[in-house]
Amino acid sequence: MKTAAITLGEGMDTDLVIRAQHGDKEAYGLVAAGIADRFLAVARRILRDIDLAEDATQQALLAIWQDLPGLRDPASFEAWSYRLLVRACYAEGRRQRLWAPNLRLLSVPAFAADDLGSVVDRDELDRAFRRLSLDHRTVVVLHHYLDLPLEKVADIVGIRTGTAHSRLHYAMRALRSALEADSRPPVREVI
Amino acid sequence: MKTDPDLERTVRSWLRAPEHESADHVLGTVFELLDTTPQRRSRWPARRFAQMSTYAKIAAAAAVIVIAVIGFSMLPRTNGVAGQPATPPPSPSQLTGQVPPATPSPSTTTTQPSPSPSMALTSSFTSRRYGYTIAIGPAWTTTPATKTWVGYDNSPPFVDQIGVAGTDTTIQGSSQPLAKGQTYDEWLALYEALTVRSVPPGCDGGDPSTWPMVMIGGQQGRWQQACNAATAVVLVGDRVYAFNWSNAAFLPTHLSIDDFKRVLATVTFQPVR
Repeated sequence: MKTAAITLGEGMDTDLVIRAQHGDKEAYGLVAAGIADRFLAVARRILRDIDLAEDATQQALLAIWQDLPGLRDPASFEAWSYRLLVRACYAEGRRQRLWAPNLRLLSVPAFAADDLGSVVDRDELDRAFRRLSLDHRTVVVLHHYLDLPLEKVADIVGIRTGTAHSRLHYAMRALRSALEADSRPPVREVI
Repeated sequence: MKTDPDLERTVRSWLRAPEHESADHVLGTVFELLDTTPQRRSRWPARRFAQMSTYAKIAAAAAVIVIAVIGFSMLPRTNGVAGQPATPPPSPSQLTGQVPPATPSPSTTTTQPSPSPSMALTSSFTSRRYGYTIAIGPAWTTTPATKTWVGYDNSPPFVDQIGVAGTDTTIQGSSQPLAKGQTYDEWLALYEALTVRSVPPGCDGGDPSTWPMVMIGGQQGRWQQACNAATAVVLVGDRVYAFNWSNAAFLPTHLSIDDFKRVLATVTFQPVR
């Protein structure tokens, strides 16, 4: 059952895309304004960092402007644009790895139930999610946040459908393991 | 595939929890950069190609392959290092008149660092996209940028990448023109503010006016030290060149800073067409 109205192909005016392809900045502005918030939301969920997400969104929006003339089928704009966003997220993710120091995290206090009505809380989920690789996070966000079928996820990420299935499976399994590990009594590490 | 409905529901709820996410200021920056960001014109009449018959597509593909083979056979031979020109890179004196030199400062007292005995810079890499040539070691790897650097994020795929064999160091090179009416100081301030905001606290190199001097291809540049990374920036004509000293870890397996500066000293600048 579809639970959210966050899908590809929603209402993007193909005429606007075609005008933007031909260098019409006003048309591009309307296109960009129509997707920017959603791009930022997706990037933030993949990268788990608002600054990196903003950079990725900016790079993707500029890449869309630059590469639009090469888009063969304007009707496929949204899938194509998500491809550029995912690439930008990967680039930001790599940059983070190059610059970030290797930090060890202390174990955290025990969790408490919250308004999700679940046995896990948001912080716990966030920590578990951050432990996933960028590849895994991307597939989870595209599938569970944007509600995309795995065939489309595979197309956007540039992998086979079977690989998308596999990544989602391992990502969810890793999340489950991380959550279970966090729910055990905490042990403090000494650095 | 075995699923875990409870976990899926939880993850979906968590991902879709309402957040205040407005990209307004990202859009503002993008619109500002639009004037200095040209569109890449498609070289192929894509829609026409899509409408061609299968036979015509095969014929067109065959023609492209034949042209590519002929073109490749006519390429000048190199020693196998990607991006290396068939002729030696031009010396700075050969370029006199092509690129205006940076204004030398009276405080220019930088000397060339002593070369590491094990580092032989016997090859070179030329970036036509960014207009520079740099000397490299024979076993170093080169990966040219696939996208042109706009904005302030000079990381892949917007940078040429040179992997330094035997170390965890990647030298990244790129350049971009100053925006219309923009000063070099304004560019540096924006670069510092926008690019380094994702680095750990205390790792941003501080105010650009305090960055020490460094020589890049005979021009006086600035050195932004950022913990286990650094960027050397120089203005040549109206174009800013940036060379990153990028390392994967904090372990001492990097190309030394002195050797990186030695590499920087070999840079020559060419006009970007």
